[in-house]
Amino acid sequence: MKRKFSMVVALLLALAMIAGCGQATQDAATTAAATTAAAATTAAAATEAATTAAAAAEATTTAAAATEAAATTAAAAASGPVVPELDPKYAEPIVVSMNVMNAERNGHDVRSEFIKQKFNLTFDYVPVNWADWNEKIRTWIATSDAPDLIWWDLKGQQAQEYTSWAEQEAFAPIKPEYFNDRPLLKNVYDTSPSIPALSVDGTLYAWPSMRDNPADAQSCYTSYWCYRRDWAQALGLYKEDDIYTWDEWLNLIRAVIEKDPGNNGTANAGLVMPNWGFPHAAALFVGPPAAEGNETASYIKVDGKYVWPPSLPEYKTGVKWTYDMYQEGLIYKDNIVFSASEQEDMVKAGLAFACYNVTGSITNFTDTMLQDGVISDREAWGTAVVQSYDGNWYMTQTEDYWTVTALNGAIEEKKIDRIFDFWEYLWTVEGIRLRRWGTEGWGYEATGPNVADVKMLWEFDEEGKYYIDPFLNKDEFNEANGALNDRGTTILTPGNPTYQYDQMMKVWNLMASGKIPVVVKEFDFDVSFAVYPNKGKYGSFGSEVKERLSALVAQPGIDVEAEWDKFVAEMMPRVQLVLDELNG
Amino acid sequence: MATATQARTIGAKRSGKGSGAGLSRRIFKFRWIYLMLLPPLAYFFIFRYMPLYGIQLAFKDYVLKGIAASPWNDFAHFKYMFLEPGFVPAFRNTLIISFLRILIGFPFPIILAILINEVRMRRFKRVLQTVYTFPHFLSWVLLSGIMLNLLGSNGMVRKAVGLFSSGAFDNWNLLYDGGAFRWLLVFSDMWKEAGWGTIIYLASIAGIDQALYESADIDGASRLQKIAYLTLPGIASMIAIQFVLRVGAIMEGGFDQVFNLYSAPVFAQGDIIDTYIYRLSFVRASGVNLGFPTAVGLFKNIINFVLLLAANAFARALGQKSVL
Repeated sequence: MKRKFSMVVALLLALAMIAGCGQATQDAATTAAATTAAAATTAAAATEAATTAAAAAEATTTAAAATEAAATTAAAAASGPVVPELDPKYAEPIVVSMNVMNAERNGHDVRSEFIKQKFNLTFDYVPVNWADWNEKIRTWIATSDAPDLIWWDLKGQQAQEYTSWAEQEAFAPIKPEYFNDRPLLKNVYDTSPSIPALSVDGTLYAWPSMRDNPADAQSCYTSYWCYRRDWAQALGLYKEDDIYTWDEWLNLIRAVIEKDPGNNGTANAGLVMPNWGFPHAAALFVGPPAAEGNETASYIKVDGKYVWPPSLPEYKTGVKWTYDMYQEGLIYKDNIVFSASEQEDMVKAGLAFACYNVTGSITNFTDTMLQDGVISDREAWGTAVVQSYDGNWYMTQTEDYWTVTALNGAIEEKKIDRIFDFWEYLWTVEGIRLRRWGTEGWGYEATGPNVADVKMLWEFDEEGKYYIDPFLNKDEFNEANGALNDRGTTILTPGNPTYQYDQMMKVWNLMASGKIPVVVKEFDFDVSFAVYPNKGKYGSFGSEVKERLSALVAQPGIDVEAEWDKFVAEMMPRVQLVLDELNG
Repeated sequence: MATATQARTIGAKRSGKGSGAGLSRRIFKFRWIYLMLLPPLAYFFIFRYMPLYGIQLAFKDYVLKGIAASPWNDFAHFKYMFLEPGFVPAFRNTLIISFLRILIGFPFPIILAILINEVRMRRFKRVLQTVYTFPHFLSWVLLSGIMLNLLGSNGMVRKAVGLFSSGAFDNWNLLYDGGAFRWLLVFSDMWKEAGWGTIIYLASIAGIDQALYESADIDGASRLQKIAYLTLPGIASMIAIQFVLRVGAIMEGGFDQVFNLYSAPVFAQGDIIDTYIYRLSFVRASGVNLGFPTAVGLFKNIINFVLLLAANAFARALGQKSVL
């Protein structure tokens, strides 16, 4: 009996191990599908590939991804993808390591296969995620263990670190001669204001991934509230064009919590925020206090002198609003102990009304909610335009780039050469189309010389209104970050209707329309990237501000404004050291 | 046979030369057994001794070219340590939390082990041991999620309390109440680790001569008297060893647990040295300076070492076994 039991347990363990290997099998199936799709030149071949992929998908424990791959492969059946010819100068295969988001989803689609075939270039993906990205980079640099391409969310707060590492040769210099035969990259090199900011003693060490927002967006950060439009409608409090005054917004949250349109009972949450935005997003990000990207404690110029925003009266007003909102329960109380993706999970489970910073991942949210039956219509979840307590709608400007890519100090020249050729290509019309839609004949058919002159081959969703993004890594095609590009044309083309971009366009169009008063919190490259000893040592005290504000909002019955004054007084001796440098 | 072996050993001891030759012969004879010592030796050498080279970073400003190339900095990290406003509170919190863990958490596995030992039904005893030991195998990442579900705004505890009160605890939450947080750390740690901690005491109890209990039964001793006069003295040396080791780790406040459970409202009471250094090194904008955490680590370990020696001397003074 004992022996039989042991055998059953052993068998179960073995089965568990096989199930654990399911991901690899799935990836293999997906890869096979993508590879086959890229190689196929006829509709019949592509159809066969779809069948092969479908058969492979059956063999996996989680078939969703493989089925998706099969579906995308089937899309190629329309005409057959264009297969690039390998330039003889790329005869030597090159493998480049690079850190990326969701590494397991990368390298399995026609884009990667195209890059491999055209440039003989393969990427070795090193995983990072939002929570550990900077930590990993710091550790890699400190231990000389960085990948060839160091993809970094470099902001002004890290300028001291960046400069110090560049001076210590952790990065290879990006030499001007790299642009001699690459006019499209040279244009960025010559014109982007971020190039001088990223240069150390005149030498550039990190290549910016330019934002592809339209000019009307003024490089503003695409972080604002997304909310359950269907709940607002159910309560009769929905406002046309999703524009809410401050009072309307607060009343709407109160009504959601009280009347529970989602039938969640006590589990109903009003506002939820990612860890980095808590609790600033509720009133400070969307209110008058200055901000530098995700940082409200930067330094701003007032009457010709730099000051520390938390010491200003408008900041204290924002603190008071945040405190009141938290104490009233409009901000979900447990948000204070969230450390990972809890806010996202709550939204996707239908437990929260509004979440900050999801504009860039609306598709991800709506797909999940639709799939799980949380919403019945994609438009039940969308962006809200919230006017602050002073009547203005605040947008926060940021760098003109999204992230940067630095070259490892020990990278070989032949790798640099291949990478820059690839990036240059990504700035061409064909390259832009590749990044966004895939290969010609697979994702689109070209109908003219402009980027937007295309006939899309992607499939539509069930509503027949928006395209289904066929890529596993969706917008996270991080290999292409060297050339996030072309200021809007890629995503605002009529050939690319996706709900996510519709929502982003709506916000940007509103900015340009003048329909409501818009104030842009301007980004200051000079102060953001200024390198001084004390500024390098203390930064802008952003984490201290966040810690204290979080601590204060959780304490009931305090005079939060007096407490804030005490905090500012406590901080000023150190803050003053930095201000003296900046104003000196 | 045993006598002959003893005679050979004594003979070998008398002759120095013979002793060396005997040792070599014994090592050769049991060479495969001795070979098994190599992996742990290699482990200790690579992971415990080689990193000691890096201690010098505590006195240097680290540069990317390596430890040797990094310049000495005139104890700058140690000076900065005591000037940083958050260091002293974190140091104090570490001591308080560790002290509470010793005061309340240390005796608990002993009591639990004795109670389990007193259970007469063997199967029930095994079930109890498994149930108590299981939480040890859950990570603090997972447990923090469980705690949030238990103690959060919509957690089971709040709902249970809500049945008996009308809004009295609406603004109270263990997870971010500074006054309650240290107790939360102590008791959640006890819940997780007490079962695991009983193993060593149960093994120790099992080693007590059963004849003593039989004699006590004949003398009419009650169960409490047997615990007081046989079981506890029988495991006293093990308790002393565990106590000395625990005191020697007093500066380890439990990074995994605190990191996963704490939040800004409880930093004042719950921020320990390890979490503080983590935030200073990885979260704040000033970036990584490997020298500073090394300096703090060295400082912590010196304190631990001194306390270990003191606790060891104390245990010896009480007539218990010495760890060192």
